[in-house]
Amino acid sequence: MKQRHYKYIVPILLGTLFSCQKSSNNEDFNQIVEANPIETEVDVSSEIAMQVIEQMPSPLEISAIIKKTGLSYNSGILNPITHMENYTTNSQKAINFGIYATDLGYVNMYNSSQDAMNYLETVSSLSQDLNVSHFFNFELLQKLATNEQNLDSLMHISTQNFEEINDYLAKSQRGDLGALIIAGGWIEGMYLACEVHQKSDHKSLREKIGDQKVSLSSLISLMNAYKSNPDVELINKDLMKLQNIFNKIQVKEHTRESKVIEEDGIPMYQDKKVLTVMVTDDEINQIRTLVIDLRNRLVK
Amino acid sequence: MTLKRLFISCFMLNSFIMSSECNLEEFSKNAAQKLAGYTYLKTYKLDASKEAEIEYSYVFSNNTQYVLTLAHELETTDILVSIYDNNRKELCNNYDKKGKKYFQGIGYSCSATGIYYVMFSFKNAKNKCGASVLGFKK
Repeated sequence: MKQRHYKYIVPILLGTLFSCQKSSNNEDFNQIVEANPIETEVDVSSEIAMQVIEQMPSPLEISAIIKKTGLSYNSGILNPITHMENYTTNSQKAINFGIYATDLGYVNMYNSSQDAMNYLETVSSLSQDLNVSHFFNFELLQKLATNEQNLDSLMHISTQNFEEINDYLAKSQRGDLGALIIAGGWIEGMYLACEVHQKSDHKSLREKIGDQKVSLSSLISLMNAYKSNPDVELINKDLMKLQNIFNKIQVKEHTRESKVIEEDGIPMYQDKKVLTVMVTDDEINQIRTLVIDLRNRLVK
Repeated sequence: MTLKRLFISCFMLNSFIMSSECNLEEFSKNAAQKLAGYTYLKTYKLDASKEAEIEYSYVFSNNTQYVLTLAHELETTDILVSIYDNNRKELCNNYDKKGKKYFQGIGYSCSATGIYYVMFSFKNAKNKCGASVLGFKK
């Protein structure tokens, strides 16, 4: 099997001497970061950051579950577009770019074309401030947003554009902004799930909330890499508090018979292993309180 | 006569260059078009001219069906796509042992949230170029 090799640079003796190490793909990204004693000087390879970014699940998956519960669209839970004027620093713009992008995904899931247009304009405006607007074909997206029939294409193209932006920021010297965008997207996805769950107590949403331990660990790994940015570090402290709650959640494992079915000429495999999160009411309440508090501080 | 030969040579050279070009955008578009009923998540552009295998990772979620569609030159290229769990154990691939053929994609119904690895390797490939698109449905 192919081994990926990553280089990371550790400045030693006031930055005059550099040593390079290689690590195999099997090494945990957390371990790589924690093994480095000079935290503020870590220059993490963009390849490692990209690996973490590429594996982060899309917040669209949460919006899909919300829609599947049968609950109707609620624009009141989204970050109002009027808040955009409040964001003056690059960190605030990046984190809220991620938040608005998740909101746009939620809006698109529900085929709300007028809100799609408004959120698209907001995201586009922030992308200009962050100098990543060249990844957006705003005219095409705007055209797609005017017609409800085209919202699938809008969702596809905008998701692709966000992916390109994250890749670009990770490769450039602005990986911290990329990490903040990813964090904003993840936090907003959790916020939407918590808000909707509070009103509906839907089982699938409860499981989805309790099931975020793996993606949260990946996110914390990414944030750790850029904690020389104080805004990243501040948010990461909250994420680590959240991680402490997730670490207490019990997971039950059992196996079943695996099967393969063919669907439209493609084999569909069903795995043997089944993991079920056994999240308690108390744990859900603790997660919800922390997520809502963090998200509301970020969008102010 | 010489001019005619020159024209034919140029035409043949141009055809050769065109066929050896890796049109990742076109393959990406074709792979996305095969996502019937699934919501688009990611595009994996596969240009293996430098590396024999290309690997990506993704957090698959419980109770979610994922599909990876493939697009490449069908006449000259086969792509093996395998899914591994976090312990690097192969869970499935798109090779049909009985029919001795490669399916144009693979689906995985996830019942254990975790980091999964997707490995693409080119088989019998003249042109190691293609694209894969990841989609999901609940």
